[in-house]
Amino acid sequence: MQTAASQRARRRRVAALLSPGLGWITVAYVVPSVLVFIYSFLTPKLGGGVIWEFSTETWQEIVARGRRSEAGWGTVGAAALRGMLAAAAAGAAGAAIARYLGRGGARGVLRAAGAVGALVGLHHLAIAYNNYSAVFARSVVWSLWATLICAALALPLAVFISSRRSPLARNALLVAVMIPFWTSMLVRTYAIRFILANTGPLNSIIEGLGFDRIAFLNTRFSVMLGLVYTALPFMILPLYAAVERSDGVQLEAARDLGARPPQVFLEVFVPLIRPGLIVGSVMVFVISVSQFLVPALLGGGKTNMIATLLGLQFGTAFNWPLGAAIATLFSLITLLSLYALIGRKDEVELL
Amino acid sequence: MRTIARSQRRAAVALGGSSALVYAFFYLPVIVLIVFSFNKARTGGAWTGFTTNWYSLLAQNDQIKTATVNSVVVAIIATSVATVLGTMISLALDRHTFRGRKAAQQVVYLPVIAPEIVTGVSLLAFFSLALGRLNDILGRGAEDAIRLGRPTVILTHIAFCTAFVALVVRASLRTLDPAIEEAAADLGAGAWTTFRRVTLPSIMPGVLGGALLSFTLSLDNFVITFYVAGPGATTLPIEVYGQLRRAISPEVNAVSTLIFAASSLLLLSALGVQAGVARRRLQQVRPAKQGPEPNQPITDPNPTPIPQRRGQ
Repeated sequence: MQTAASQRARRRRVAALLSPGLGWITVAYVVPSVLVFIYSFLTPKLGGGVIWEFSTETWQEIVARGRRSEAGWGTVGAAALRGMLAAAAAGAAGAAIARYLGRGGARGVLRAAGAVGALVGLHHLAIAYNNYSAVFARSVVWSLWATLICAALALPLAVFISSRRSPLARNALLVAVMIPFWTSMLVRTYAIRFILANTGPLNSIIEGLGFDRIAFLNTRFSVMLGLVYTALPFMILPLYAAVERSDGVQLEAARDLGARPPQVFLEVFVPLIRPGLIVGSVMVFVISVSQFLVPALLGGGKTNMIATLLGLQFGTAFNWPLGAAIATLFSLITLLSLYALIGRKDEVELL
Repeated sequence: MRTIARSQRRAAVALGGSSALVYAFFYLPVIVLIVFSFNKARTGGAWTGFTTNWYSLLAQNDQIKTATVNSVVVAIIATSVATVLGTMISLALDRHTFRGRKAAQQVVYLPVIAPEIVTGVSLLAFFSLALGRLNDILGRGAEDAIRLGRPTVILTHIAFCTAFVALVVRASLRTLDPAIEEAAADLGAGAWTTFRRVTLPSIMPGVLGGALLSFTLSLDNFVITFYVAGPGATTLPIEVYGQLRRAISPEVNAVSTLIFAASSLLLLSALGVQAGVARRRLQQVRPAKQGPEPNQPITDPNPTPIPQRRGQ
């Protein structure tokens, strides 16, 4: 039985342990986000900063005024059409897979097709609407592609590492994934920039072979390469943890019962490693969508992703309220994509 | 039977081959960078001969030296404070139940999940407002005003390093049975003695791992630091970024090589410390078992210090 006095002492101890660290994290992370939301309703000051006068100018600019002249009902129609076409294509592919696997799953196929269609339609709409929505849409879609590519590259590697019998080999292979994971993003992004540069090693090999130099840098290719290169370890490690936990016996049982390899993969293996796949995907997506260095160093520093656009407003463009509004929207996107993860406790444990 | 064996072998070769390609993808760019930091030619991508000239130029580069010293000072101060604060948070979260514990946990996760660019610009807005008010109160004019600088960088680094330390130490607190601490308390040890003689030695690998992680995070951080540093407190990543935006030079390759080497060394020592201490502890606690499970990866006694690393 605890007395009231000892309970009070206990509470005091918890408060003493928590308050310095937690207090400072709150001041540094919660208070500024509230402040930034307030800033988005103020007036920009030349040379940086804000004037404390209420204004909805910034949000009007983002939502309505920045609209492109050609954006109109035609755009909506075109977006809807594309969305429907994409949904039909995805539905057909899904139906073919479901039929091959020999099961119904009509609802799942419909849902997936609907999601693909909505994504394609919204993407088209956002690209055509105005500069801000275009940058957001591009960042999201590029990050989704980066997530897919990372998953495709990481899965064989995770299986390969966990299939090593000797613990020494397995640890060495894991550490080899952790080293790039641990080294400075700046150095790794710069390494890609150095190799792809017009006068870089790759181009001198190409020239040596008798071809013309290729402008790799400042293209979609270089940005995508950079996104995958920097985020790949964040997919490998959770996937490895999931593969390691999954039970090989189930795969064997499925094979013995006559399942074809794609069937074993899609119906047994993927459900087994789902938690790792989800954690890895969310991490890769969040990291890619907020990349600053990759678009700055490999994309030519044009405002082609959210972070560069946001950085520009607080840097050389000196429009703090606009930057604050973008930061608010951006935080919302990140929170929404993490929302999928937070509801699932077993998957959070893997983090 | 033969065909199954053959198809399995084919699958194994495909798996190994694709993994080798991924490893090449990881390391080729860095290796090329390292090789070319010893290249004689100032420009161009052709190999013209071996030199260590760029490293000696680096040693004479005052901007790089100042920035390095600044980075190390920031990292040392931020890590020392963050290790203490983070360990305290993890003790409160793991050894006590109280109202608002869930909310406290979520706040600790914030630095891990918040996009760095948002944190950077938000802190810039916050610090300029706070410093403006402070200067008004102190009655300082344009000349002697307190501005963004090393103190704001250190404060910022303390915030995110504390969160990472708390998460890493918590992972190792989970593996420590509270009954051992209760036994110490029953035997008459006070709260502080229990912590110093029982808890701390057991979670030491986690604390050290957290400190090393926090040191690396602080040294490497670019995006957040870029916005809170102001002109006076350039850290190494900011200096390197500035140089490589201007021109690709072998000197940047040399400094990048050094940063890569330092980070790899820090990682290996972090893993080594954790594996070594964990092994010793397992032997002490469970002498019947022969050391750690042979098929556990070396990080397993304290899972997750690494995956928490955020991108920039």
